Amino acid sequence: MSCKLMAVCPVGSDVCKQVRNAADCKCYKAVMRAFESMRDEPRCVAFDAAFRVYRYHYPKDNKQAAHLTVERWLAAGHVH
Amino acid sequence: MLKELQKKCSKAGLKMTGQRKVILQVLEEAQDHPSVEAVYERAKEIDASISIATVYRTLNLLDELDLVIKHEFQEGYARYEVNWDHHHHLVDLETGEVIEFQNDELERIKHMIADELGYDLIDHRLELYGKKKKK
Repeated sequence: MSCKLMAVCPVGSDVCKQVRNAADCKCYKAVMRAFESMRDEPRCVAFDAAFRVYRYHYPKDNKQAAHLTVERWLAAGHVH
Repeated sequence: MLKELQKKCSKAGLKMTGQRKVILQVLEEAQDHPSVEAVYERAKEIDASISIATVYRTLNLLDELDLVIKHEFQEGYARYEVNWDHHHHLVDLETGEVIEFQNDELERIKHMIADELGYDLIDHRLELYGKKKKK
């Protein structure tokens, strides 16, 4: 369920690059998939879906850090 | 979304004049269910040459083509909204897969809830989150 990458990629480091390189990172793929699948909806709705998927994979992350990570993943993924 | 709506109109055989485009834009941007007069007021701000007769005709045409939904609330006049393909989402938390679904029972229940609370239902959102049951 958890992605080992997160242990070596604390928020604030080069998370996006490292996660994008991780083809087997299920949590990253799930987050991006949820967001992209909801792209016809308002961005806040698509983001909320991605955020909830992230929080499912990382329930111990605090909300602020989780929010930041998801925003970084989305920005790095050039979605929207 | 507006382009999608215009495409639907063209497909239904409705010629896309400038004024019709403005009316579609107003409907697409509406966060409420505007009346004819409200559509007219908003359209006029974009194109001052639009008449209320054009708005009436266009809304009737869109209604006939099933591209808008005409709501007859208990107010004595009709309100309109774009007839988007109404659906909800179920998000698979493990994979991020998003499943679109429609459910008549749900539609009935949400109207019933609003009605019981003394409201006409104007809008709502519903996203379900879950994980697949293990077989």
